[in-house]
Amino acid sequence: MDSSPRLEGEMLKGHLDMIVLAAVAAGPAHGYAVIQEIRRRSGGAFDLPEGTVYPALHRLEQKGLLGSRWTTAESGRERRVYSLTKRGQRALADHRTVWQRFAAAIAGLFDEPAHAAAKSNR
Amino acid sequence: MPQPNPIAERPIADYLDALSRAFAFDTALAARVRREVADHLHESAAACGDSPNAERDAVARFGDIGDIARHYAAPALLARMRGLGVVLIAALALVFVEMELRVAWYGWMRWTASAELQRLNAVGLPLDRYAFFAALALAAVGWAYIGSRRAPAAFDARYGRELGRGIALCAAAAAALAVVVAVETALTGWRLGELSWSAAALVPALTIAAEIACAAVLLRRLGTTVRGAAAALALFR
Repeated sequence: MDSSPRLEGEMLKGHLDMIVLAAVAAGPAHGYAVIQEIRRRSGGAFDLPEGTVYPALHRLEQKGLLGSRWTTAESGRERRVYSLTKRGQRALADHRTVWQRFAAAIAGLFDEPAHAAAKSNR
Repeated sequence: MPQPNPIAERPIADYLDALSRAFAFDTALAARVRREVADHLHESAAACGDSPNAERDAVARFGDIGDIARHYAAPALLARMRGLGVVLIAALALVFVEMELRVAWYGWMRWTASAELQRLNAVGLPLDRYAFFAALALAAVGWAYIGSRRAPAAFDARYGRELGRGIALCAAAAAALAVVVAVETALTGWRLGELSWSAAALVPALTIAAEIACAAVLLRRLGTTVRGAAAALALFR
């Protein structure tokens, strides 16, 4: 049984806050634009149910990592625009450091058997 | 020629109405989320041609309303319960200050109690004291319990039970405080009835009015929290 899609979905949920912070770091954006940015920058790999991003935006705002304000779009509709706060910038930098360390460690684990196999074949 | 069904032709409006109903646990949050989601869905539909089909696709991409509401409900209800805890502690502190102020005023004005009031005090004051200690103890336990809770990613049955326990502790503390205020009101009212009217009587009258106001604010807040939690439990059962 292939569990990859489910695993990816769970991994995505676990890192949703970091993903949303990274998308908003590009500049102030409303929810729809944040979703488009996530989709674009992940090359379409992170195709989330769109409604899941809004609770994450709200949660990050409650934590003080995002700020928000109502604006009026060209269409005349009211629009909530989110931007990264100073705390949000620090949190994103911390996430990035932890993630890079984690990714390097995982890469090391995956690479090691290949190195070991290469050595034993010599 | 078949006429288009006007209800079937409004997928976004129908979705937004259903969303508002699913957010019955917090009407202010419901209004905010509705405005935000309306903008999203209209923009999403406009990007695909702005037809009823495009609206339906936009709604489908947005996801299940129940799931979205569950994600909002967990932190929103925890914030509301913490707010109730703050109001409870503030009400206890204010009622204590009002009581002490009144006792100090009686001493300063050298107002002695009549024989009837002394008999009433003999019953009322111990009741008042024990009810206040009970309110204080319940509030302390409730505060510790609420403070140690963490909102899960989405509202679930276990979290619903935790909310129920926190609210029950606050409700018990509020009930004990209501007993305190009722006893204080009766004793102060009796004392004021025995006095001839003077400006000095304003101090006990105003302090008891402030106590009643504190209790009213607390009970109102408790009612809002209970209604929100009940709505969430009913929706997500």
